[in-house]
Amino acid sequence: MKTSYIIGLVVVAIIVIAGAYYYTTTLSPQPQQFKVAAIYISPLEEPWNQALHQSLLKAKNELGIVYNYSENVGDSTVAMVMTQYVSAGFKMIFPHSWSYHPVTNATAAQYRSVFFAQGSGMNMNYGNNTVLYDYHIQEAAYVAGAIAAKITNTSKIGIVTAFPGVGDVDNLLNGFIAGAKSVNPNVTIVISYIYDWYAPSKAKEAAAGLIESGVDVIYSERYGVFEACKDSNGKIIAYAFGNIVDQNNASDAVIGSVVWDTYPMVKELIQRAQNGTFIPGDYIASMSKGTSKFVWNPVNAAKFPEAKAYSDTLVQKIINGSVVVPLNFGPPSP
Amino acid sequence: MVERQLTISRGTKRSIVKALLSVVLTLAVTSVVFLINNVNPILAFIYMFQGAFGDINLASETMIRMTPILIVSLGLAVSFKCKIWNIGAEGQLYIGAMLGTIAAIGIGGGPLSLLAALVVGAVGGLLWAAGPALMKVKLGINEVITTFLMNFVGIYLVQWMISYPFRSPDTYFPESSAIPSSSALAVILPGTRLHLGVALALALVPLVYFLLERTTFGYKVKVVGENPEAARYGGMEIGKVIFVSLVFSGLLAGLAGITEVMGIQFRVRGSLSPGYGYTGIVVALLGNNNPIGVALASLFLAAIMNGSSTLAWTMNIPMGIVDLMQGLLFIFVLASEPLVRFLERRGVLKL
Repeated sequence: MKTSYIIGLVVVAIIVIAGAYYYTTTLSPQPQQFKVAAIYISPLEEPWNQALHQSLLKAKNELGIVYNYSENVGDSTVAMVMTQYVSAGFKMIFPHSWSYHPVTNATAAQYRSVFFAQGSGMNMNYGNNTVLYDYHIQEAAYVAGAIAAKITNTSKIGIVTAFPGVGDVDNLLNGFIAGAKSVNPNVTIVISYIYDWYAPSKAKEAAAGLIESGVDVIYSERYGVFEACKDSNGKIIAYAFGNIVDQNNASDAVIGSVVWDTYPMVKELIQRAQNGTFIPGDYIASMSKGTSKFVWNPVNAAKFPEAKAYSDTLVQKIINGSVVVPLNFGPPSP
Repeated sequence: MVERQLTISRGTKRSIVKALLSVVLTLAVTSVVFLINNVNPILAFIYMFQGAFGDINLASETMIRMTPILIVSLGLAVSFKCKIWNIGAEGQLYIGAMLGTIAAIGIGGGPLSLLAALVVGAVGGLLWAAGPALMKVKLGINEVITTFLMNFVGIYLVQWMISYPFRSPDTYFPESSAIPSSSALAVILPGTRLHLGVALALALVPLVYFLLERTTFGYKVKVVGENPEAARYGGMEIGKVIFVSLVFSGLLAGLAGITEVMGIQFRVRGSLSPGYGYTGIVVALLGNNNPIGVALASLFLAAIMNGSSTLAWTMNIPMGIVDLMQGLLFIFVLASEPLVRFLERRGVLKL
């Protein structure tokens, strides 16, 4: 009997101490900040995740928001994670994976006072609170295409990409092709599909094959092309363009990168959500908004001054609207 | 009669003490890990609790998480009671989910498709367990190895099926087509995702209890598990009992897989289960293979899983904490019997 009393007392004491501690630590008044969460399907380090994460970190510093994230969230868990963020008073959620889109649709319909920015997807029901964004950076790809046509000696340009028939990717390829044809309508463009989203060795093989056939500039829509751009003596045998993130440091064979900068988007979405001017629907990246960029590799900007000058004027024309690069999700016709 | 009841209650008391001891030790060791990371453990557990049961939505999410774990571990409880260690519930779950989904899509909606999917899913799990069960009974091959290895065969087979023959034509990601909406399990709590599968799982608790405690089969399972020699001497067909208890756990694993598809995911993806088949092993052991204990243990594990994701972003604790706690639980459950004996010898515990 005595033992059970002692056990009972200990349990009560623990509960009281825990309760007291909880009150002193959590119930102190907290500042009412705008809370933003991002949900990533893979480890944070992946480039697609970094493209958003870095911008949200910047937003945390510059806009004074609260930013939390969850990484490695699988498709079966994402609804629960969203619910937790909503319950904790988060006002804006970035589900940053294609496969989350059905869950975002359902959750956004359930919580109309919370804003959702879905990172790629399809068949969205935007309601009053949902935005769909993607890396629609075809304007930057157009600039890259124009530069490629300027610097090629063989008039043969290559593209290394993943699968045929993926609209979001085809949009970039169409931009690149249109840019190249705008400089030289007779340029030959060869597309090499590697049938994989991430396979650097396949991409390298594909690039080597293109170079063998006379291609001397390659749009590296997927990773792995740069390694094929130099021969065994380290001599540059072809130039290449990076995609999505700035890859100019990777190799001096990189002319520049077609970059997706999410910060202007993140800033606009957060500010619009805060002041009640949120616009549901597709958020299209563009050069005028600053979310689509062509970034020169300084080494090669010095090497190709004429192409650099041409691209600078072209970027100005795209920003002021005299050159229009429309979204085009159809199959590319090189 | 009176004496029999007394012995049962003493055994139950003992297993409750063992389970509580394992939980307390797990929380204690986890607390040390929190302290090393400069995190207040009391606050951490409070955040975990809030994340799991903080409001009606979070509580229903925890129930949703509990559903597949409970169904899997009820089946495992039966085979473990027979001392047949089915480590292959994960693969059985995937095969059940895949075959059930094919049935639902093939029949194309309606109540028939719903029922057929559940049955085909469960039978799929059963068939996947039947191979190791036959090998065990006919050839005496250790079921721990065969069931475990069949996981990889099963999961990669499903990955292949959703990458090629049963790939959804809409997308470029390996996933099956969605099941018709009329063959989805109904939501029972409007405004949440809580679906009929939860009711199904909870209804299975008394059924499995009845099976184990009130039927001849349950009695045979116990005897074969406790003392196969006595069972053989008593004229029981040991092979048959072993076979049935192993395929029964496969049946429930398959059912868990197809309910997860029909209630939550609506299609098969490579990420269907974050290891429910393995979690079920810990749960069945923690619940001492008793359906009521298993129900409580699966709720506990579900709460840890959901609570950890709140913990992850509130206190910057990586999600790996789930695996850590699950592993600790496993170790302490296995260690609890000698530990209790030790405490009894020292006179600390009197059971």
